[in-house]
Amino acid sequence: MIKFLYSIGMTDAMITSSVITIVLSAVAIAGGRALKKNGDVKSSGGKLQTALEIAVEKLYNFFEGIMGEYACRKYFPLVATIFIYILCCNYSGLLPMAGHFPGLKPPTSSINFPMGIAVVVFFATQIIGIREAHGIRFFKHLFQPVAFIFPIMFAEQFVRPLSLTLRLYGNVYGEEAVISSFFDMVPLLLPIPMQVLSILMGAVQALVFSLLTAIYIGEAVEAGEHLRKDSHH
Amino acid sequence: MIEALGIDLKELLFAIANFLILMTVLTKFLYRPFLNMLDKRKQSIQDAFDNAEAVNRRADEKMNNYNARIANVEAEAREIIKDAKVKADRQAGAIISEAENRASEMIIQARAEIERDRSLAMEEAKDQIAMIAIMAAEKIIEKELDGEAQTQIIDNILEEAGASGWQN
Repeated sequence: MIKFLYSIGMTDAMITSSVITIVLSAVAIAGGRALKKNGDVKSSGGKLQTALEIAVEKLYNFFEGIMGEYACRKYFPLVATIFIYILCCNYSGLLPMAGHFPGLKPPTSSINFPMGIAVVVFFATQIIGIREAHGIRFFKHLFQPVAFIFPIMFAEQFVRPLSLTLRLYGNVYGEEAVISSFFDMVPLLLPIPMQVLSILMGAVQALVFSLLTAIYIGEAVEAGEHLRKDSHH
Repeated sequence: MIEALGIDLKELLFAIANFLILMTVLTKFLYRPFLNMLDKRKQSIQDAFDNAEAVNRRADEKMNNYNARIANVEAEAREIIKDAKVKADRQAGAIISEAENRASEMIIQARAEIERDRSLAMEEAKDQIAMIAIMAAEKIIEKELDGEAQTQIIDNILEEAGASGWQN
């Protein structure tokens, strides 16, 4: 099975990412079904439904506080998926034998996965800005408040995905490398403190990535709205 | 450098596709239904609150109504009592004045009766006195007069007596 996947060009990170995607989708579909079946607002669903309900509500409230009500209502799926996906990717590195077992490698420890999400965030920010500004006048925000800062504002748009990528990749890769070399030295006990730390790190990195995305999107929505209103005056 | 960092276009594209697919699935099965449900729940809680408020307001209104009605009733009762008092006073006055009237009537009647009795008695007394006077006169003149002359004399005496005011 693994050999077949390798033969069609799948890497360990891709396999793990696929498994994570499938598991998350299955959970989401099961939860959605349970919700649909129980339907009624008052009836309490199963444990899964309740857990998902709490998770979605907490995440929503968290991002609403950062992006504002309007932006969160519209773009919650993007930031929430980033958080959930990166969290699961980071925690996949805590599974036994991660990095040693074929097909099990935290996707975020390969630079392409953080980069892929950062690219999505980059384009999403531009598209959302254009959508909220009702046109390409959104890019005027690069000249505000004064025109000569344009080079900085322009560069920032590209520095953002770069920093998102390197921060996540560097943290996870470094942590995996440390655990792996500890494991190679003394397989018992020694990697444990590092793994405990990586529980914290995994959550922090997922949070930072999604938080920054939420801030970027909130900014884009605000700038777009501002420019749209300006053009109407 | 790109290879040294491990950047690989195939893996990058896979990562992007993977992420977009996951986002689509989660949006369809997780975020949308759950957020809708939470919205509905929030709405139903809000509705319940609004409802409770409306019920409270209605209860307050009713309470006020009742209070106003009770106040009305009290005022009415006071009015009725006042009316009754006035009526009773008037009636008492009427009864008293009637009684006074009757009493004065009775006094007048009694006076009239007394007057009548007195005049009757006076008449009788007059007759008797006349007889006594005649007898006295007979004794004095020592002779009998005929009936007509007797009556004449009596009348004369009486007239004289009346003129002298003895009746009073």
